[in-house]
Amino acid sequence: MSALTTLADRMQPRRRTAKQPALLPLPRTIAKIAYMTLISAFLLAPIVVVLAASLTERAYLTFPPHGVSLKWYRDAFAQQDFVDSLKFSVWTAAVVATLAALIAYLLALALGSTSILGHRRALTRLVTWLRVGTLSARTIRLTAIMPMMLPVIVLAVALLQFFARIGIVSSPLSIIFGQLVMCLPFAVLMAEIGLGHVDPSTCLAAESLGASKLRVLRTIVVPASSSGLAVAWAFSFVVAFGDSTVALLLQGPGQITAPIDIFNVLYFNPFAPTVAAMAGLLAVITFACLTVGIAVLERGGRRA
Amino acid sequence: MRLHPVARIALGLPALAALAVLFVAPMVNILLQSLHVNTIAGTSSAWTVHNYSEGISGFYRSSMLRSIWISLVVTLIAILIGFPFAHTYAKAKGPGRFVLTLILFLPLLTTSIVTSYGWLIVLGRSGMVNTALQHIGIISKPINFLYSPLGDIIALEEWILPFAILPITGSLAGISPDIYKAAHSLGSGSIRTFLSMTVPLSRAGIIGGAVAAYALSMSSYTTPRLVSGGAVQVLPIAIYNQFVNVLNLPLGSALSILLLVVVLVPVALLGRRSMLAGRA
Amino acid sequence: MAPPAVEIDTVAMDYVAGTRILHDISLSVEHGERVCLLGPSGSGKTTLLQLVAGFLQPTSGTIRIAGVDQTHVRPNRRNIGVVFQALALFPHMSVAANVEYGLKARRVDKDTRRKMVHEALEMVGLADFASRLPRHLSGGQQQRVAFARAIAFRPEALLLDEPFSSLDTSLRKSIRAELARLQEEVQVPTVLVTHDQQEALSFGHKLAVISHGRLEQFGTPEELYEAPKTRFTAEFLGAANLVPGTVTRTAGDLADIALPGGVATGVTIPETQAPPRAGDPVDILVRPEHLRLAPKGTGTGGCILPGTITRSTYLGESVEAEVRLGETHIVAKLPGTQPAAAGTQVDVILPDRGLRLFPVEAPPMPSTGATASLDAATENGLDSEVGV
Repeated sequence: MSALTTLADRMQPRRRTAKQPALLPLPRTIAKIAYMTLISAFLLAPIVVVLAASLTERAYLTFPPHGVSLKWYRDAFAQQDFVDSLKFSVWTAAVVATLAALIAYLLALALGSTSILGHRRALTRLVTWLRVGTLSARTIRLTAIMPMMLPVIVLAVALLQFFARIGIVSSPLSIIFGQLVMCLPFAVLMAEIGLGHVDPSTCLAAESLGASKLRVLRTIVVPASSSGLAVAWAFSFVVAFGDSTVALLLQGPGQITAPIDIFNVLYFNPFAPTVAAMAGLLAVITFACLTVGIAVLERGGRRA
Repeated sequence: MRLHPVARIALGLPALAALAVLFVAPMVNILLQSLHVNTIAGTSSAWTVHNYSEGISGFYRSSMLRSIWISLVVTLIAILIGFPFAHTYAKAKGPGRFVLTLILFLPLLTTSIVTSYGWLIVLGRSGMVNTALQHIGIISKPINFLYSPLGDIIALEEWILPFAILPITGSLAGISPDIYKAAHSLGSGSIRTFLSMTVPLSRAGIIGGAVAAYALSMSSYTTPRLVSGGAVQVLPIAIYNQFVNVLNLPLGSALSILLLVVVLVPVALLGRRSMLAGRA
Repeated sequence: MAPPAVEIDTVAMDYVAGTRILHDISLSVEHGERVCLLGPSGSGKTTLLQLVAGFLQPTSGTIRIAGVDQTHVRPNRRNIGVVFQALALFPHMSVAANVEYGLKARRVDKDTRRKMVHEALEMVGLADFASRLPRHLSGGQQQRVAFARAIAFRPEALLLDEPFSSLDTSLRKSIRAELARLQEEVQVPTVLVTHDQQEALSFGHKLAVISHGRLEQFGTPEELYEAPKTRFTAEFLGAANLVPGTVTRTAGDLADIALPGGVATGVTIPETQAPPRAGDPVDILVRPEHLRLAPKGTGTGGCILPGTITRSTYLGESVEAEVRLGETHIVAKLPGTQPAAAGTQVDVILPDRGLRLFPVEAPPMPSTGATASLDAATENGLDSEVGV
């Protein structure tokens, strides 16, 4: 037994004599599921509670609900103010979403075309221009994404001041424009994800097969990125529909969105089940748009 | 797609016009407005930083500090409880993933008026939590969740948690599983692997999530307004009051610019890299 | 005589003004011919292909298709089929719609279109897959769809941009053979870009070796392999031994070279090179399979040099022996022998014919005179171009 063997012994990884401290697979999985359930419950709690409360039979809000009934929804729809605000919300959000998705899609198209390559003459002749072009593309992109990081309350008061100055007051346009700025960053991101599914080499292939730029756009780029366009619309709709801050500050007579209507009612009677029904309805609409949007997004991502 | 420069500019024009008119111009407008003072005769034409010195002292300073500490608490909790969630979510597949995506996006996109209303029901003096706790006998008197920072923090946390989870998930999903296998094969245990591999490699996501959580909770107006009923004066509520109730527009503008600075400085310092890293 | 199908006439290309990525390249593709552009990555071969397709435009020079100047014609107005490296099949269109695309863009009427699509798919054996989406096909099938799409509209030329690189080795070989067969059937002049010398040798009727944006040599595979004009071509195509020596005498395009331990006579001087003078250092090209080894003292014929085996490896059909020859190591490929022990002294027998010399590129000492500094200058010039 020389010093060498002792050294070799020492080089061996130390064997663990004690029991492994790690949890067994099963308890570990159970702990994980429990944790995910707990956090999910926390995330969903207020929405679930609102929905449950809206279904109660009693005239005052109780939880858990006593008996199930849709009568508060009937009550909510009997209130002309609420129905008007809901209609207003839906049509303004649809206009905002359409504008945002279109504008964002066009912007993403312009930005994407630079990132792949400039105009073919640019490569040989206008390289300096091209460099400036790429630089400004990044700046434009940052500017388009900026409103997302901007406090909504600041955006809302800035627009309130600005619209007062240029004379757009008490018009649905002010809410539409305000929510448009809010939605644009989301729409640009979604449109870019959609355009990311377009393989640039398919555009070259189409050109080599004889297609003009317009035909390439129509037959290759738009179909391959249509999921992005749809998702940009759905997200913009949900963001505009759910907005409360811009709508609160830019509201005018007859221009009250559903969330603001609820906000106002909450002042007078916060614990009336009718309010719960109104809020529950908004949650259901959001949920429906969201489910469709995410399903389209996941499918688009799988296909690419 | 290669497009003619003119075509490219034409495509970008609507967005540029919208951003210039509806974003840049209004921001410049309140910036200019913040540099004047209100007098009895209306807004004076002299340039001054008076509004800013008022905005960082006394009442408004305490509003800002309150906003900051509430946001920091919300951010810290969001990262701590969001990380394990993101860890599982990043590995989820199929219907499980779909359900978790829904669970994350629903509170994020449901109007804060609905969720705040839900928290009013849950956290009220005779709400679910107080009733339950009293029933079990843990407390004898109801806890004042509402009209206190505690209620604000709980309600904000629910809305903001997904904003923290999503970026962390993104960076965790980008780590190759082989890296964990390599670490294990080199003799690293679970905890060491987590600290030496998982956390550093998802740093960009953690920073991105923290920045988003901080920025959003700093600027939230409707949630504190409804949950604490204005009893907890945070900066967005002070701004709203200047514009709608007090009508001191220059001071409101200055407070807006101050809020903007307090939000955007950390975003610029920390967030830029993690925001742009994935897209550059 | 009919003009060549594709003619690239002194085409040069600057990436940025002053940064040349292609230097006055001229080559032509005859009707029915397959030409391979071969070079390492970054050599400019794909740029050249893009110039022919019309995705890029040259700084100077002319590209003629069937004798017509098309240098400034847009890609969709040229009649050229392209198969892309990643195939670029349209993922949202069926196989038939993919193949039909070029015909639709050319406003071919519906009945003719249907017939031509069917013909093209029939030819590649995918008529039964017409309504499938590309992602439901195997890699080899997708390859054939891309080919069918590129030839369905009867292009005047077919360009293939490393189309086999995504396939595994065994599939690559069979698809390559099939593509060659199909090309012979339709007789479309074809240009293939590749960095794989085996692919180039087996597919091309002619090869164009490109390095640092320059055409090194253009000719048949045999010409390029047996009689490379430049050191680059010699080393890039197949395995090459370069044995250093000194010129002792020149006569016409032949020279005698003193090598470590012997003299090689009648070594060919490639015509593109300035004739060396006696005393100039040169390298001699010998292919490993042209070398023979014999036990020390028993070698006959040709030029015999004394060497020592340093390593030999059994490769099945042959043995690869590494031999130390003076200061250099060379490799010999010896069919039907057994490995020999390292240290064995041997006679290395150079063949009498087919030896070629190349001037020594960069002398180890930069202070050997004017030629050296000129060489260094050229080298630096090349570096700055590559560095872009």
